[in-house]
Amino acid sequence: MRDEYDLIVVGGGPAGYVAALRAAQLGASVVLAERDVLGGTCLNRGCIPTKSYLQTAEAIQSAREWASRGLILDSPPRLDMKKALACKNQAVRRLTAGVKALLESRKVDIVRGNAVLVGSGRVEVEGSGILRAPSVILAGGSVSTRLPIPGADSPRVLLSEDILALDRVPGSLVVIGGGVIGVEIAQILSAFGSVVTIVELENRLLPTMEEDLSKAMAAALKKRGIIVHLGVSVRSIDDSGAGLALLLSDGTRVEAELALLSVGRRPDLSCLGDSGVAVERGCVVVDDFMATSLPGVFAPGDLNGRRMLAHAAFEMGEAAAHSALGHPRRAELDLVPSVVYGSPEAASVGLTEAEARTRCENVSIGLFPFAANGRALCSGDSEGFVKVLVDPRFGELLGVHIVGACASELINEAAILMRMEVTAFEIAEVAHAHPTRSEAFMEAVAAALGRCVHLPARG
Amino acid sequence: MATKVIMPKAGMAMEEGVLVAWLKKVGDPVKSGEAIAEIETDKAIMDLEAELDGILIAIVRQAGEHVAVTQTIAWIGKAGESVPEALSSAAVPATEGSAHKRAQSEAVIVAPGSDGRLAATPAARRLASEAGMELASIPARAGNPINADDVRRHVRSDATPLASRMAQASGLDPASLARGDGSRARSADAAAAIANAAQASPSRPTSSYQPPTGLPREDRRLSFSAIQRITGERLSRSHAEIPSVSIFTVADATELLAARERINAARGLTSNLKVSLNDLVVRACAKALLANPRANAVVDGDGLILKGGIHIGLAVATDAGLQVPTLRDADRLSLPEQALRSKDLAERARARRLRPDELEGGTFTISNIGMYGITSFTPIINQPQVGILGVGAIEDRLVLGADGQPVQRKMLHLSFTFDHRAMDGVESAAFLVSVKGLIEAALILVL
Repeated sequence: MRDEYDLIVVGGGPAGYVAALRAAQLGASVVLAERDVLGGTCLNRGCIPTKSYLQTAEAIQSAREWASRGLILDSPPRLDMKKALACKNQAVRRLTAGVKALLESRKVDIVRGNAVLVGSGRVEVEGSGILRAPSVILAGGSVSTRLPIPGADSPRVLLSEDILALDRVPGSLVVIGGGVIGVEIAQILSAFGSVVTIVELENRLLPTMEEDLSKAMAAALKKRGIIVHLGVSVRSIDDSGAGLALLLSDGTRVEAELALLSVGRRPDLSCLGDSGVAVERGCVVVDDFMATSLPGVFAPGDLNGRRMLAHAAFEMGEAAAHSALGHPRRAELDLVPSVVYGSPEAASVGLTEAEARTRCENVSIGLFPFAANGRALCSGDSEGFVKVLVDPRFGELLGVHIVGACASELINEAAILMRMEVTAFEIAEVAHAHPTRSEAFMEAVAAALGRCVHLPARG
Repeated sequence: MATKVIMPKAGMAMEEGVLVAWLKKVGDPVKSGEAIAEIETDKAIMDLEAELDGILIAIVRQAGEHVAVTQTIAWIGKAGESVPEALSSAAVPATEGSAHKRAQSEAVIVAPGSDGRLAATPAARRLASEAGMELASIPARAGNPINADDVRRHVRSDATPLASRMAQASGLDPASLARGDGSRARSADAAAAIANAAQASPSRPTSSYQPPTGLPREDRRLSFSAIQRITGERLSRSHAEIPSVSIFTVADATELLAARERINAARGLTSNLKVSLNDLVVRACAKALLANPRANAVVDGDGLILKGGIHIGLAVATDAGLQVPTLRDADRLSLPEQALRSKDLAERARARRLRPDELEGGTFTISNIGMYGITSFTPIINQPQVGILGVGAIEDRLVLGADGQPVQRKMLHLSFTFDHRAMDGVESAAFLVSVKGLIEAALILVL
């Protein structure tokens, strides 16, 4: 370790570690400060742990369908939550160790401890003194938001990181906030055996996504026994009884053993110190190159609140590394896909239909249901659809929205083609392997052009 | 079983036709041999006749559409019969989902014909097929069939497909978007180029220039008719390929015009058909061709074919463009017969009622714009012919008579434009002098 580097990175999450790796690749000497475990929220408390649990949840769900395929299970599957937890923790450990190995292989020094910007080019790390570098990348990430609901400070009202550390399955759970995190955890615990209720303030689940996806997701969750309350807020939480009693704004009372508060995340500004970096509405102000108001200080990832997604943080981290080393690069966030995991999955890239209609005079819509897709039917899971929005002037793909199994994988093809500005005319001509779920995307594009052969003729 | 009606191949060179008008409606009974539609080939408008008795049960291509030969344009069947579904392939843009009914009418991205075929030139079809591209993937310029240039531009584009389409829709060449660094131009580059072009466009005055008020004169775009397109292509090719030379002379037509008056006066007793000066020039030309066979020839690769018959193309201006019907065996017709046929051909050319075979087989062409006072011009040779006679105006001139006194003569301007590969200067002069001599020896023409 030295005390003068080309670049200091604060935070070892997706934005920070990617920025450090890219900067090292570009030849810079880099030091990364992390107060906890490398990998950030994504690896430790978010994307990765939930995916481990979702795999378990899917296995439980598919076991319920085995009988219809002629597979006879002598007794229904039971969950050993301690093993599920250990399995999840092992995946997390392997990945965080992988991040550490990557950083070491690129000769990035790692410093443990709380790090705070104390001025341009200077970062103080608790227990390690002051680090100096011409450029600083702040990737402080975000924390779960708490709401000022009376009773929300009860120890039985958990945040997402708490619920992922449970070693038992609660008998019942109220999920406050039907966004991405709430919907994923609701699905996991419902499959694990909890009675789950979702309470969402907006009049639909996943309020930032395409409305049709919200509807399809709500229907799918209800089918799986999850109770959904839309357009209501939580007035108060009473934990004086054996379980929690929640009073909703429409007067409904909901009782549950535990509650999850998943109403969103906010930037963790603790790494800013008194440096005077400009902040607006709780988010660090950055330009497209990730530069903050202080020269030489950059802030990719959740800290700037632009897109709180790990893969958006990767993109912003790379852009910040380039910009910090004097090769300014814009973070391209227009075509960053967003995904909700579970069964079904929901995935989007580009504009929603409402956004598209404000931007374009005409929008041509192609819809292809998985019920008409051979692969989906054979898998027994033909829920959902692919919806594409096309600007009829030039065939530009404006947005793609998928709900159904494998949506998270299918969306990437759409993102690539949109980024390359390949139009609907070309996409409709690309042979897709048969039978695959990917065909549904191509068919939806063809439908938007009015030439889908695998849908009945209309009008 | 319903029978399809196709766009006929009405001539060897015909690759597509335009449906001018339907003469029958769906549900109308039709008889074999009865005209059901008007179609325009590259040369003429003709009636399309039903080949069987029945009911016109479906019209699949609409008036105004360009249709490749042999493509289905309608169906004839029995009352109550419908078009075999698999074959009607009506490509109505269908969008899915009841919530998106509104999108249905908006889904027209390209304008396929109702059988799904796009308007495209045969060359475009061939190129696209060679490049393994679907026509529908090629951006056309608004309102035009996809042509070969559209295909070529799209194949070697340095722009993303979206940028390429945006540029072409605004009439910009996608190649012009190319970035200096060799990377592909994107939609933002296209949008910037379109904005620049719009600023630079003379049709949008800058703020410093105020157009005169009360005179709204906007640019208008006229599409070439099928005839004009084909004619244009041929003229360009001829102009580019042939080393042409033009020679000029004036013929004393005083006697000929006097003879014409006497002929017409005499004929007027029995017929209303008058002999025109042009008829007499055509006649002189036909006889001169007989004596100068190299002028009555067609270029055939590395040689010439001296044609056995003398079939003279008569250039006729029509509303739809230049038409050149053929006066067959012009040297063998009697003068009245020749005049009658010429008048008939010219009239039907103007009404676009010529048969395709009446537009083929010419061995020489005559173009006459003398009636507009034009003295001389150099028409373009009608390939593969080797020459064209340009007939100009008649001028009154004073010339010295036999007695040394000035006399008034009517002098006819003539030009002869020829393919120098097929004829040299002396040969061409001999031919034009023959024409001049025959005109001046007026009575020879009626022999």
